[in-house]
Amino acid sequence: MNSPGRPVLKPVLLFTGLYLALAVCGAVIRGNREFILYIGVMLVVIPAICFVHRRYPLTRGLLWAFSIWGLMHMAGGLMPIPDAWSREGSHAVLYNWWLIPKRFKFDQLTHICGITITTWLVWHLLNYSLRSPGGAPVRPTPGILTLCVAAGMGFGAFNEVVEFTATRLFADTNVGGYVNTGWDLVANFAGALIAVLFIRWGKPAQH
Amino acid sequence: MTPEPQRRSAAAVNAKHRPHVLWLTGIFAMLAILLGIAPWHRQDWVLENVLVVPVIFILVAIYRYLPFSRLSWSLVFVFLCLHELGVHYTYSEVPYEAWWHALTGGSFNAMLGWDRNNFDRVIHFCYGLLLAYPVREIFFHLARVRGFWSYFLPLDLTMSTSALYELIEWAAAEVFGGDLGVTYVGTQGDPWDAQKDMALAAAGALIALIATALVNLKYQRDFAREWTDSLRIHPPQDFQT
Repeated sequence: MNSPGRPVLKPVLLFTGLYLALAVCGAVIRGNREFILYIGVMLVVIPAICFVHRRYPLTRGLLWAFSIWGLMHMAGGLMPIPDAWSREGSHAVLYNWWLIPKRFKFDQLTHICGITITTWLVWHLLNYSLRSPGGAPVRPTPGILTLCVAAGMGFGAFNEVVEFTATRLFADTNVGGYVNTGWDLVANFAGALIAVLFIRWGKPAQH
Repeated sequence: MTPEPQRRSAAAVNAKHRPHVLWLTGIFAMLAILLGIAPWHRQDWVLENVLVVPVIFILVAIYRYLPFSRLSWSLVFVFLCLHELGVHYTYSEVPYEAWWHALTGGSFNAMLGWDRNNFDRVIHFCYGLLLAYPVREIFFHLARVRGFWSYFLPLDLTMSTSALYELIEWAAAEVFGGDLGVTYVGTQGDPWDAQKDMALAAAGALIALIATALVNLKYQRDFAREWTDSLRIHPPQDFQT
C-alpha cells in the first residue's frame, strides 16, 4: 500500500486500532452499548480514508489529524467525566462537557476539528484532481477556497443527517435538538473557515 | 474575471435563449407582483424575499457570463415560483389541505400520513431536485469540473447551502424573535426540522444528479472516459500545516 514518497499508514492505523480497542473494552466493561454507534462511524471513516489514501496519497499531517479526530470522537461519546464538571444534559460524557461554561462544549470543539480536517482533505483532493485552464495546478484562489468551504460545510450537514438517522435507530443517543444542531452548524462553518486560513497561508508540502 | 472567449460563447448561447428567458422573467415578475399583494404575513413575506434579491443578481451575472441551458433557466424559474407561492401564504400555512379538500373532498395530509403542514419540506426537497442541475452547469462552465466531480460538487454544495440557510433562518429568528421569528423558522415544533430539511434537499439533489448521470450515460459517448479522467491523479501541489 505504501509506495516510495507516500506517508506510511501503518503507525496511524496501529494508534487508531489501539484506542478503538481500549474504547470498546471500556464500554463493554461499563455495559455501555452506545459504543456501537460511535464505532459504527469509525468503521465507515477508516476504510474511506484508507481508500482515499490509496488513490490520492494523503500527507502525514492529514492522516494523523484524522486519527486524532477519531480519538476525540470516541472519547467524546464514551469517556465519562466527573460529576463535578460542568456539563449539559444527563449524559456525563466528554461531549457534554462545557469547556467554557454555557458557551462552548467539547462537542463543538470536535465539530470544528472534524470540519477543519475534512475541508483540508477536500482541498487536497481538488488539488490532485482539478487543473486550471492552462493545465497548471489549481491555486487557493477565492473561488477554490469558497468551494472548499462549501464542501466542508456539505460534509458537516451530512453528519447532522447521520446523527438524526441515529436518533431514529437508537433510543438514547445523546444527540441534541434544534439549538444543538444550530451550534453544530456554526462550529462546522468555523472549522471550514479555519481550514481555509491554513490552506491559503499554509506552506506548500514537499513531496 | 471570465475569459473573453467564454463570455462571447455565453453571449451567443444566451442570445439564442433570449425569448425563453424573457418569457420566464416576465411570468415570474407578474406572479411575484400578484403574490406580493396582501400576503398573509407582510413582515415574513419581506424577510423571506430578502434572499431572492441576491439570487436575482446571480442570475443576471449568469446571463451575462455563462452559457446556461433552457432547462436550467426553466428549473430555476419553477423553484422561484414555488418559493413566491410559499411566502405569499407563509410556508407553514400554505392552504394545500383546503385546496385538496375543495378538489376531492378528502384530506391530503391524512392520505400521506402527515401531521403538519409540509409545504416547507416539499420546497426543501425541490431546492435540491430543481437546482442541482443548474448548479452543475455553473460548476461545469465556471470551474470546468468534469466526470465524478461534476456530480459530487453540486450535491455537496446543495447540502452546504442548506446548512447555511438553516443558520440564516436560526439567526433571523433570534434577531427578530417573537411571532415573526417563530413563523420564519417554521419548525412547527419539530426539534429535528433542520436535519430533515437538509436531508430532503440532499435527497432531491441526489435524484436530480442520478437522473442527469443516467441521461449522460446514454447519450454522452465519452461518459466513462470523462469519469476515469476526473479521478486521475495529477502531480500534487498540496499544502502542509
